[in-house]
Amino acid sequence: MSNTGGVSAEYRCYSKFIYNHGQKPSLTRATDSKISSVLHRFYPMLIIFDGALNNIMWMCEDICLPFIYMVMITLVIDMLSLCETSASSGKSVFGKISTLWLGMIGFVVLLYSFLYYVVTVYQDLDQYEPPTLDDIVILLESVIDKLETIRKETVSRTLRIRTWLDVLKFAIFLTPIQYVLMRYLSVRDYALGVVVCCLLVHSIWFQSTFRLFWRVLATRIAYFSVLSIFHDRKQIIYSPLIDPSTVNEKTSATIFVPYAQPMHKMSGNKLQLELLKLYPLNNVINGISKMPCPGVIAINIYIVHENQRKWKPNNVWEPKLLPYEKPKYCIELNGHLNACKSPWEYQESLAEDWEWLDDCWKPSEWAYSDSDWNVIGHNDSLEAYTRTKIWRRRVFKVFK
Amino acid sequence: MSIKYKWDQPRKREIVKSYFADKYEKALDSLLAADTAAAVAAAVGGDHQRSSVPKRGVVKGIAGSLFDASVERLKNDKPMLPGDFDTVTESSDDFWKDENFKQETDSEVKVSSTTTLETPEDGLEKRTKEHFLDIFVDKLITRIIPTRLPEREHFGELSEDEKRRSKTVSATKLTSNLKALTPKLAGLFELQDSIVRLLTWRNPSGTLTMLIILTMICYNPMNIIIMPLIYIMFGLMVPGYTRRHPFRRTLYPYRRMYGKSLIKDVTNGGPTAWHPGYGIQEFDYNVQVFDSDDVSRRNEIDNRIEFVVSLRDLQNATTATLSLSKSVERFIYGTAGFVDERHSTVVFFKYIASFCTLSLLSKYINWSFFISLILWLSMIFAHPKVKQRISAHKQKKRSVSSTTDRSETHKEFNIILDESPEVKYVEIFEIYKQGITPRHWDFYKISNQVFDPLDKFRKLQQEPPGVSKLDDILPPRTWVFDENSEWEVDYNVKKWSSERGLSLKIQDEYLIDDSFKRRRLTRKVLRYANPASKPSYKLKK
Amino acid sequence: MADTSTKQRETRAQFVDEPETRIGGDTTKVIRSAMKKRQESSRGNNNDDDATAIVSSPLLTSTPPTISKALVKLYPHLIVADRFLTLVTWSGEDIWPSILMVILYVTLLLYFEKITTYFGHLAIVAVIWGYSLLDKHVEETLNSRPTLDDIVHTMKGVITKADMLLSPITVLSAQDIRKFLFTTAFLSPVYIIITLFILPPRKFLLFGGVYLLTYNSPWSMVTRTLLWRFKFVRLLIFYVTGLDSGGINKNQGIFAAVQKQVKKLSTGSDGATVEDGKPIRFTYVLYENQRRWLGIGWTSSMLSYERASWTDEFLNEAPSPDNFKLPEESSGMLWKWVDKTWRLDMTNDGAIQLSSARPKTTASPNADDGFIYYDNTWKKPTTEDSFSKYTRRRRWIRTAELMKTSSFGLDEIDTTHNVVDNSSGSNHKRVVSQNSVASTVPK
Repeated sequence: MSNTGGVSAEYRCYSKFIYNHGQKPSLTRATDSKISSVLHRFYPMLIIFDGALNNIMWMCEDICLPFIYMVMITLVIDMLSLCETSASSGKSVFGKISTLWLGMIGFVVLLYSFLYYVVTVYQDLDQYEPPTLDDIVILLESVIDKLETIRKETVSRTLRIRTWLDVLKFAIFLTPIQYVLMRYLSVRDYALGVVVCCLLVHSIWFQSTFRLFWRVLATRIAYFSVLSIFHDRKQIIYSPLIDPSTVNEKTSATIFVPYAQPMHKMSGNKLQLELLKLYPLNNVINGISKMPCPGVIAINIYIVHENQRKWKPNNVWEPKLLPYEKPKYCIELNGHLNACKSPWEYQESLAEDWEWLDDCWKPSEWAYSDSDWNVIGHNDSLEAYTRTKIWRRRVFKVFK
Repeated sequence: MSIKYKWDQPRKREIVKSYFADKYEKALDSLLAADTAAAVAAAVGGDHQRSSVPKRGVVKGIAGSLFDASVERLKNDKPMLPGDFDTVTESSDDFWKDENFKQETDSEVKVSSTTTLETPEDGLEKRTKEHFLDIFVDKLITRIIPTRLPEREHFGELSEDEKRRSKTVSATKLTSNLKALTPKLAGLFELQDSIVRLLTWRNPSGTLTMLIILTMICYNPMNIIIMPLIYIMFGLMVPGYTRRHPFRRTLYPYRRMYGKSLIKDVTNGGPTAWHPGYGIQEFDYNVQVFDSDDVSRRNEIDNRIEFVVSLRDLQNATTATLSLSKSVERFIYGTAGFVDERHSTVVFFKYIASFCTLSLLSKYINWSFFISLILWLSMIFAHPKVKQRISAHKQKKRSVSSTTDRSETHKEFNIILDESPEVKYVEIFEIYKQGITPRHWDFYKISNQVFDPLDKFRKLQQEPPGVSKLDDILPPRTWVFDENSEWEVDYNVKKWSSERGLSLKIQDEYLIDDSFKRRRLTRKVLRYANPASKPSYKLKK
Repeated sequence: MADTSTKQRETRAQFVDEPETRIGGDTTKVIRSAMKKRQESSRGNNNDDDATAIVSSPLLTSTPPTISKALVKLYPHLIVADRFLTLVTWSGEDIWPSILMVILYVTLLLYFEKITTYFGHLAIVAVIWGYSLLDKHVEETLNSRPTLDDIVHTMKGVITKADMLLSPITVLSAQDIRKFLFTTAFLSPVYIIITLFILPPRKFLLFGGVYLLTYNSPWSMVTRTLLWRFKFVRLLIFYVTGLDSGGINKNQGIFAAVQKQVKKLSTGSDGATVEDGKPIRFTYVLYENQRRWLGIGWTSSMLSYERASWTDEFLNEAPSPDNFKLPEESSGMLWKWVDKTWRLDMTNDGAIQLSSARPKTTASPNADDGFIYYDNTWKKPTTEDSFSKYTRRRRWIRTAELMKTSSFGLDEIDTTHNVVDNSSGSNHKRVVSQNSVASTVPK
């Protein structure tokens, strides 16, 4: 924009969104006729299935209809529960007849509105202008998108039961709850509750309430504690704060390096300097043997993770972390992360015959990750909620 | 008193103004005081004439208050008194300026350094001008209506300037409120539309949901509290959350919706009112669909039309409220006021009967079922289709039974209205003027005044108001002369003269003073019932 | 052009987008890309549109990527639907699963209370397990590299089975259903008496459910045809459902439709393209764009950088109606115009509200019909012309039908008068294609 006269706002160029069904050639001419014929015959089924999905996800433009369908389903269940001996004795004859009648009407209206919908879909298809292939593909994409969201909603957060073991555990976990429920709830309420939950679970209200509950710490702790029963992937051991000596014993990643002749006479930091010259921190050292035999030097590397989390109101990075995730400092030991003290406290409590090889802790730069600790990059961004810095330092021990 | 401006306006102009103001301050004050005093005097003077202030006075009043206002404005060109202009509106605007309200579609505001800060100069200008209008209106009111305006109750303790400001009419406040109100009115009428649509089955699924919810409330009254909670949670907060963090549901543009729903087709109650629609609704595959409620925003009619629409709606609303209040009044003053005695008694009995049955039977009836049944039946019978069928059915029945038109319902429960009427006595004075000789009196007048020497008309040497013939005398309004009683002369002159404190000469049945004598005639008057009361505002006419 | 907007070339940051596959390209990455999406599904952003293609097959070469991608994503759900439908319509190879289904339904219904009290939670576990299995199944099917042909085949299977399932419904009309509703509503006291005394709701549901589930089983069909021969049965059905006895042929229609489906399925199970009653019709859409030039008025010559005078719905250049040719037909299918000429859509795709009397489309419109007017930059659409309007467009449609070449006897090809002369001469001579499945194509 030529700046005309005094202070002119230079052209602020905004980049525009792309969206997935962008500009594309019209499909009717481009596609193979076999596919278009199949798609065309599949179109009514797609419409009906799309209607059903809209109702399940409470997305149709008139929210009241799914609500009415749900009420009718509850009426039908009410009627069915009449046959139960325990429930029916309670109600008066008039009550029984009214529930029966309402259940009957509910069932009939539900059935007929489904039939009516199917019939009117076929009627409209014949009456209106035949669709273009793009319409069909748009509907196809919409159905797939909805199926995808349904799948993501049910599977992403809930427990992933894949193996038989999981099923068994889950069943055992639920039996006490079932027992308690059954004592207080009648079968009718139980069935009603389950059905209504299934109908509502995919609506926006349920999902956003999940999300809002997910914001509360209590729910997260409860969720992860339940989850840990099943998958007990206890990568993170919290209880004993590991001190260096146990690390040295337990670690399987010690490297043994030949204790060469000239080093014999060196001692103290001269030896350390020599070793440092031989084996700088970053490159790989190939050990000669697995076992600590005399005339060899064992080198251990401490890898300590320092974790921090960003707290929203003023985006402040604090070492305050959530109880169920990584502790403030944790050390990598045989693939597990063990809570440990801060690297600088390690300074003093080194085991007796081990000495520091590197003279200070080498920090890596911050690795930023999202709330589930998936690394996203090296600089802070809106996505980053947690970050980790890895401190490395080596120790060595001489076996005479 | 030096006026310190901190703003960066050119200093010269400001100094000149403050100089003039100082110099003539006292002179303007005195002028102002003198003028208002004269106005008040003139207004008070005219007090006793109930008639409105003469035209000439009004013109003088307007000119005077115009002069005062301009004088006052010149006089106090001081920085605004804190309470002068309305600080409340300022703070409410900051709420909307919050960064989170910035919309994607906001066209980029040409943010340049000068325009952000409203130049203090013209800001002040604008406010003072309004302020001028305020003073002018105040002055006008004090001129024309001298007495204090009646005040209204207030909840909390009012601060000083709020009390002052709430006393008088402030033109600016009124206009700004009205201007702020019109967009909000649109929302109100939207709500009214939706309620009407619900009640007339034009939104069938909505009506069914309403009925279901009402039945749930009947069966469990606690729902009255639970339902609003649910609405607030899921109707307001969840959409708000999903607007801030939409998490799915990309909307695919459908060219045409296939298939109809049985419930909607069967219970549909007719088309909804015409709405200018969304302008040209072009179907475009590549249209950038943000989300569903954006569509409604796109159809905002330009605000001129919106203003007219809200005015029209306001007018309809006022007519509706008027007719509603009229019918309520008709009941309160009509049937309740026993204007038509028979009808009112019947209505009264009906209420007594329903009261008794309800209070007696209420324990035995399953109210929740009963009320929900009534709800459903009333709504079903209110359905246009059902109404058509019923009226068709009635036509058929009426055409069959039109021959035997039954006489107007014969005496309803044979109500007997025979309360004894109210009895009172009226008096009239037959006045004789003294003729040439003291003994000769000729008939002078029949009047309702005693016409004793202290009488006003006597002082003015005027004839007392009266008639010449006895038959022209009328009973007091709403009363009736008792047919079988005549005018009787009251011979106990002593009594009625002493009651009036007249100690004059009594001769037979006459009370004589120096030039007139009069005698009192009494008669019985009857009235079946007091006049029914009328609403206060109707009495004035 | 005094007022061409000083639209300065917008410098726009382009997203890095992998090159679209050339139609007919043989890159075989669709499955891998789909799987890639699965692995990083936890990252959640699954709308990357990188190049997709599956193992090259004749179908692939001619299908635009959007469709093939959509079909691939639909495939797992298609398989589930197919299995379910085979169960319900008893059209699988062996009918034991269907029988098992019926038995399961019966037991579930009869012992509902016991099951819920003791094994209620197992039901919930089963539901969640089902969802997880579905999740696993989706990944497996995507790894198993389905070809487009497999997908089309399963789709055909699903279509025929769904048609079979819905055929008794689609025969009815909307009015019938309303009548059903009112009759059942009024008859409800009768039904209540039945359920109260003779048939408790559980039994009622039991018989109803079994009847519906076994509707398509061979035995029930045979029994139905036999029963239908009795007058008494027709009267009974009339009283119960209010379907007037005249509907005999309609009922006959239901049976006929069902019979035909099953026969086709059993014979045509080798995946040959099976033709059912309804014609396959598509609409072709063309937009005529015009611009107003000062002094000349509305002409179809457009500015260089904006849309062409004849475009499709996506503003791509499209041939003008005169030389608009139907796509060359490939495997056994022939495009054929249904409308004789291009017709103007007076409602311009619903944008213009017509008084109901006027026909929606006319073949010979006058110059200014059905236009929507825009300003100089194709914005602010209105139906009326005004001084600030410089561009306008209207919508032409023409319906074409997809015929099966195999169903064409040689003679038929010559007599089809409405084959537009511009379709290339070659496909006239096409010999009747090889698969000889006799399928009637109603005119």
